[in-house]
Amino acid sequence: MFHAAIIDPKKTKKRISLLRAEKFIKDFDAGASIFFVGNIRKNNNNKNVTGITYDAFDRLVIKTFKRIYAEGIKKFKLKKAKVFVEHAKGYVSLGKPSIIIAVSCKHRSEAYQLSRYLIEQIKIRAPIWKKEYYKNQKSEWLKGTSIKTK
Amino acid sequence: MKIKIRLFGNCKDIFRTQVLQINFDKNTKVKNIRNKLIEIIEEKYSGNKAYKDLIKKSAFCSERDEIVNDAYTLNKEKTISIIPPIGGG
Repeated sequence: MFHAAIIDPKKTKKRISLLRAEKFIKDFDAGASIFFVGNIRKNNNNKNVTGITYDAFDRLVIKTFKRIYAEGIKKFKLKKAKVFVEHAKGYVSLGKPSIIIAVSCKHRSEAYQLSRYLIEQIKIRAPIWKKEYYKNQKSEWLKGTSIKTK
Repeated sequence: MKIKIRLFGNCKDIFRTQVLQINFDKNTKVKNIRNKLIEIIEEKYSGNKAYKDLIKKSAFCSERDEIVNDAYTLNKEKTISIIPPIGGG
């Protein structure tokens, strides 16, 4: 089972939620649950960060998340796994979460592997962009990674 | 034919819009669209190197949500998205 969403509070009036994640991945057959939460941190490249605005190509992000999930299931030969991925869109202030990845699997090793695989692939493949805001009132789009073309 | 170019991330700030509409010849290729955007930067920003590099490093995405290369031809499609280097999470 898989859930993926881009959450833009301006449109949905809700934020990404650990409670929703916990509810979604709950499974009495699963012996391991992993929750990864990416937060806005105070310092990046020696600059005092106050928040980040995320832009996203929603449709392509969801398609990419689904593809990465399917690859992960295949790669780690998982018969049963529940995965929840939500990413924030719009402004997220310091200390708040920008992404939640929750995974439940039969055993801990596969839960750790799948969770790690998902975040590492999302970082380099999902069309999401960050504009950082700093204490000195300045802001900048982060450089990022080019998407590979065939 | 008129092509809509959807913009994301830094490109929205550079071109100060979410969608550009530009006329191209029929069967234009992604390469032509990339070159046109670089041309606009040449005119608007006196060839700002960082902006031009951003366009050069960007990918493009078809209406069918597939990443396409410079040789891709837009036949019937009227919209294409430019995907600057990404960095979510």
